Amino acid sequence: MNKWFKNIFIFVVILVFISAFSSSYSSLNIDNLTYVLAIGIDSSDNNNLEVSFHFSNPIPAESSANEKPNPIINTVTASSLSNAINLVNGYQGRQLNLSHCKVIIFSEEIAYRGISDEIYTLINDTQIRPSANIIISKCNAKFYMNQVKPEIENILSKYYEIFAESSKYVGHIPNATIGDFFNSLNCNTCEPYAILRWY
Amino acid sequence: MNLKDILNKFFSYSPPLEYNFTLPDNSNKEELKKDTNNEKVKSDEKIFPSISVNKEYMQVKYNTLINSDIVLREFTLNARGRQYNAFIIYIDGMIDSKIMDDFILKPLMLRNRNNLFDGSQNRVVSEAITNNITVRKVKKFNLANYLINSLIPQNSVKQVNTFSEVSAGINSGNCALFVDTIPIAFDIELKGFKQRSVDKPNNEIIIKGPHEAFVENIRTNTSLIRRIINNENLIIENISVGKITKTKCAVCYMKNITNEDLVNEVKYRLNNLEVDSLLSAGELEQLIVDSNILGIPEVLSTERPDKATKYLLKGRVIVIVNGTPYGIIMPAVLADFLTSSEDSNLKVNFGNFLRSLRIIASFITLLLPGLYVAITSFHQEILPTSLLYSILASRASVPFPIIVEILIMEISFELIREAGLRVPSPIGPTIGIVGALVLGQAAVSAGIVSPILIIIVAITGIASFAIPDFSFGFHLRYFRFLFILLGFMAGFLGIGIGLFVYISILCSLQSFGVSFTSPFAPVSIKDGNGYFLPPIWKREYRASYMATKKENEQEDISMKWKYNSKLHKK
Amino acid sequence: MTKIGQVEAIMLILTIIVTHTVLSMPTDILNNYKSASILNLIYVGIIAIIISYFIYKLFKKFPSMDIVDISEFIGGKILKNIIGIIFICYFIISSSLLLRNFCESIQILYFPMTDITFIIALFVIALGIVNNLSFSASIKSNVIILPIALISVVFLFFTNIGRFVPERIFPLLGEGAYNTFILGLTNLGSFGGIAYLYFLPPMLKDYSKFKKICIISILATSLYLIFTVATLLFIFTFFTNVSEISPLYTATRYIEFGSFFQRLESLFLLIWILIFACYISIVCKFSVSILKKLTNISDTKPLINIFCLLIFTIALIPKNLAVTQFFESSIYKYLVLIIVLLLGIGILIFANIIKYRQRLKVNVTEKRLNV
Repeated sequence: MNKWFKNIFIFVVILVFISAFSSSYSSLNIDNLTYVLAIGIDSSDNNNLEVSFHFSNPIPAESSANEKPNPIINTVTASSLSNAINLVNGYQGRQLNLSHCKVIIFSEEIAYRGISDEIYTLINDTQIRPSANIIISKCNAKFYMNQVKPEIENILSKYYEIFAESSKYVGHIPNATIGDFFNSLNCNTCEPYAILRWY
Repeated sequence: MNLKDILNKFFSYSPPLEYNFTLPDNSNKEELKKDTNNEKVKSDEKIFPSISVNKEYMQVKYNTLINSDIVLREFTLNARGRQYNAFIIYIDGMIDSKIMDDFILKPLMLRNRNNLFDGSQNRVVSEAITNNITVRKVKKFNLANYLINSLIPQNSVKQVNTFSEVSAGINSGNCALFVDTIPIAFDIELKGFKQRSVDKPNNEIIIKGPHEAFVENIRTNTSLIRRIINNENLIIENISVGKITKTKCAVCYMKNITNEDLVNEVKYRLNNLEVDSLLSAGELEQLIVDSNILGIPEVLSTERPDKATKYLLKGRVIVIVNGTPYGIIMPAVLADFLTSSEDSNLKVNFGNFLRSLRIIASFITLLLPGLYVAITSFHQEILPTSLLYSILASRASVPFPIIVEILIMEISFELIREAGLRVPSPIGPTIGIVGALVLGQAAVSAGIVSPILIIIVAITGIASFAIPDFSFGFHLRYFRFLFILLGFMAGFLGIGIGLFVYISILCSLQSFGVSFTSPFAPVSIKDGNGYFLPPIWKREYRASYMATKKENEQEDISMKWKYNSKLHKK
Repeated sequence: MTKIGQVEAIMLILTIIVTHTVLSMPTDILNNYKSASILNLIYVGIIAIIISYFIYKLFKKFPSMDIVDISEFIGGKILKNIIGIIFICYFIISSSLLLRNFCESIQILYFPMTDITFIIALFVIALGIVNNLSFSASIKSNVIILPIALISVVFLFFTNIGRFVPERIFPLLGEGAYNTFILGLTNLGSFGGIAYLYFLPPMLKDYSKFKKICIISILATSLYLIFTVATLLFIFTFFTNVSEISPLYTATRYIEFGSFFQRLESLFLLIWILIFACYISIVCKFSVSILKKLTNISDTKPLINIFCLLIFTIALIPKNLAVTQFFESSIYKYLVLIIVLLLGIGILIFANIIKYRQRLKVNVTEKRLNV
């Protein structure tokens, strides 16, 4: 009789814990998330921002090797970055996850206006990587992302990862990461820097 | 069952059951470092003419009162009409008893033509008569020569006159015959133990070692051990367990190495079992270990005599149960479950490589599915992006969440494993391989599981086969389900908590007085302890947590052929 | 009474500092002393080693007696009970608030939708299961887990070397010599491990090793502190509070080996969860052993679960993260200074004075008898 009590008690405790943690589980589970590869920020009218998110469709391994991914770019207009993420969460269906975001693109007008607000938002997010690159593009960020069509790589994320690594052997592109950018913003003796690109 | 009883059960106090038996650590004892051969070299101890003195000497030397397989047979020897007291001493199980009956005992004990001789004891060689005086040259009757020349029709008989030669003969399977009034013993060749009808080991296969395994008969098993150890300090005591079956269990230990308290504790536990029957070594293992918590085995079980003797010489005790081809080695620590006897047969580099491989295998068996569930549920940022996309792509058509998928695959893998034991043998291996492959492939094509999951389950299964001890591997397989559940529930937090409780319970176990996680947890950095093998010339000490009587296994310089010159002397 | 060896005792004391540095202790040090943190730590470390040697010398006259026995020697049962209760309260309150701090960090990072009660409850359930095992089991599991945690922090230091900016050590004296050296003495409050030194003597297998244990443990503590503070000092500028929670965790986010091993911080978190659970189980067992000494109970198994529940409830008391941060940064240091250092050393000095007076009296009576 006692053994039954004990077993039932343990079973109930496990159920309680599973249900308590399941809310976090459903918000962080791999089936409910969609991963953003790049964020593009433009300025639009009325001091609003136009934020574009670059997704990529994962290809199953059985399909032919020549099939290229068709990247999807979603754009919303919002007053700040966090509002934009909320909006996209609303109509996308799956939740956005920034832990694999490799590149953040700002257009030149935003860069003139100052980007420290967005940098603070991003760096305080628990998901973003400090090694993501910051690019300032001379054209629109959305236009830049549309023009990204890697010919050698199959997967878009690899292209984004690798292209800034050419800083190791060539001097055209520095490896400007958001972590370094944030540190330099607050340091008295150094200046932040980012990559300047044209499409 | 009323309310009062329930309340009492929950809230009342019951004193704890504590069973305290510990072996002290040998770290500080200096006087145990004697030289390797503990015996005083008395190679010249000669045999006494009096039979009672000889008999007492052999009884003490071979511990016949304790040893159950040393037999001392006394009889009356008839030679030339006179009767002498005599006895034969031999090891049961190593001699051929038919030969002994027919060719040793019969001609010596029964009356036959050779025994009866009515004449005088002396044989006349020549006779000369001069001047009424008769001078006879007689040859004195030599009983020893008479026995060896005429009375023992056995093909190999030697006369020996020192006790060490007698012991050497007995240890190798001969029998020794002592006769009253002559200071000589006869070493008679009688070897009759079973060689090679013992079979290959089924479950513990090593490449560079002997291929003999224990059998069901306890005498054969003890003879296998005796042959390898070849020393009279090996004691094999007989204890019967079980009121109805009175199963014979043999407790084997080396008298000059093993700790006395350990041996007494083993015998105490074996003698105080109130069961009707004991049918296998597995049952005995569960009956005498300290605790069965978590299903962790606390004693080793082996079917190879060379592994058993290796542990005997390190100071442990072995129990062999009649009717099961398994010997139980106690005490056992955690590091023993991940070692196999292959490691010391190979070169040290390869042995250590195999040992580190087994640690990795045990981690994979226990934690890999749980880690997979935790990472994909809560911590996807660890994965590299391309791997993440592969997982997403492979899961695109799978209808189940990851936890259901992994439970389905793990349970079907266990089913295949269990069913494979009972499939009739012609199609057995085929079903195993083909079944697993086809099942997996078909499941992937049907879109029930994702291919990455199949790889993970397969790697886990293969890693669980790499663990040398069967019970320990089973225990790890069983607990990976708990870690899968914890990983699903709370990610790395759940796995961390589970690991912590697991490690704590491991550290609290004791196996026959030795802490289960020695030598890591009560830290003892001595020469004989440690998981990885040192080179063979460096294994000078036995493990200090065994509290053995003799610490040295080798001299300081064990390869005297190499370092014998005066330059190298320490 | 279980006996522990030398290595186990050193690891016991190191556990305290490891669990505190995983949280916000390095940030507090950095905020107070800016770029002179390392200098301050070296200075305070040397003083702490001298204090520990002093403690060893004070314990010499009382072999195999811990501080509760010594207070009984001074003031009888009343003082013994008071001191015992003070230490129990100190252990339990500091460990449960530390637990709350850690669980807050985990909740923010990984379980944003779960109530914090469940995360603390997981730890407490593990504590409840482990409490039924013996004291030596906790010590042994500590010996297994702590080296892994130490290696993880050293690993963190060495993989981030590429990101170090050595100029951050300037200006050398930070906010000034007065602030660094005189006011910096309050940093002795980081050495909370000394409280465990007071209870070690009856538990040691070999009392003659006590001196080595004292000195090596405090030395290792200060070295470890210097490592962690140096990691943070050189990576981040000290003008920003990069993250209020767990700055070492933020440092782990920077580790990358190529494009495969990135964002390994969850593995570090796994190791830190292990060491935390070890820490609270040891605290629980220590408190119960002190209580056993105070009240002479022969079997303490039913009592341990009460301590478990106590830790759970005290961990739930603060309303939010700000309260626990306040406790960790301001109150904890002064708790350690007052209770561990002042009270403890005061009792020891007092006991030594009494013993000296007793010896004088004996000498005087001997002289009288001889004459």
